[in-house]
Amino acid sequence: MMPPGYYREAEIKAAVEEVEKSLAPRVKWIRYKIDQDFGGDWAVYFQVLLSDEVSASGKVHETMKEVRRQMDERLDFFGGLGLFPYFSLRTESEQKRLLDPAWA
Amino acid sequence: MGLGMSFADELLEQAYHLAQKDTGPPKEASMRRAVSTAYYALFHLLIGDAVVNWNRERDRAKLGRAFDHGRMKAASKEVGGRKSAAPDPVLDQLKEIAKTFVLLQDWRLLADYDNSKGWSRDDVDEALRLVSEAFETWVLIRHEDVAQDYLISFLLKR
Repeated sequence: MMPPGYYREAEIKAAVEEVEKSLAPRVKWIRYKIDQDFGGDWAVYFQVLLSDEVSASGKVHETMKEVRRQMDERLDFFGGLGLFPYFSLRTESEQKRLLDPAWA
Repeated sequence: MGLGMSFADELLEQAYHLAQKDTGPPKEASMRRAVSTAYYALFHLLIGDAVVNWNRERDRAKLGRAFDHGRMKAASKEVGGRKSAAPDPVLDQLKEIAKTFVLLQDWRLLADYDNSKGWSRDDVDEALRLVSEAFETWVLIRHEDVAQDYLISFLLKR
């Protein structure tokens, strides 16, 4: 059975856009994908691209905490959406180095 | 302190070592092993504290084998999504630990089995920071009822 969040993607999209705006220019963009995790549970995978300045200033962890906090504020992942939120990150220069198609 | 604590600390230290050992671009193997080891550090931190509640010390290691990753994930997801009517700082701290557990378990499986995912040093550093924070927070709340209930819930069928 699909989780409620699967049908409420517009809410996720709106929240992502708000958080992107709120945390620019530290956060370059946030993408997401609704999918099953390795154990088969429904989840939403967020990819967060951070500016190199965030990395250079040693504020990666602090910025990611803020991303998670703001997304938590806007979306009821567990109750309403039925999706566990997974967050992963790249910095701009790491993304260029790795050439990971999942982040292209 | 639980019997598993020192082993858990060693695993976390090992995870940092793996993440930082490569000068220059990190080797994929080092990044993957660091993530996997960080997950097991948190896993053993929690089960170490769970089995210490068992009075017969000689049976604790055997009891530790009863913990199942899937059940621990389900219990952690339940806690991670729990809501409280009034502000509850201890629950909030436990929720962060539980969410870190779920995240790291998924990453551990990806690191060990999914070669299509590339790992950046930043990703791995963030994983280690989250686990380190979970360790620090756990020390503060481990004797609270809600934390002990969390440990017991690892053994319950859902």
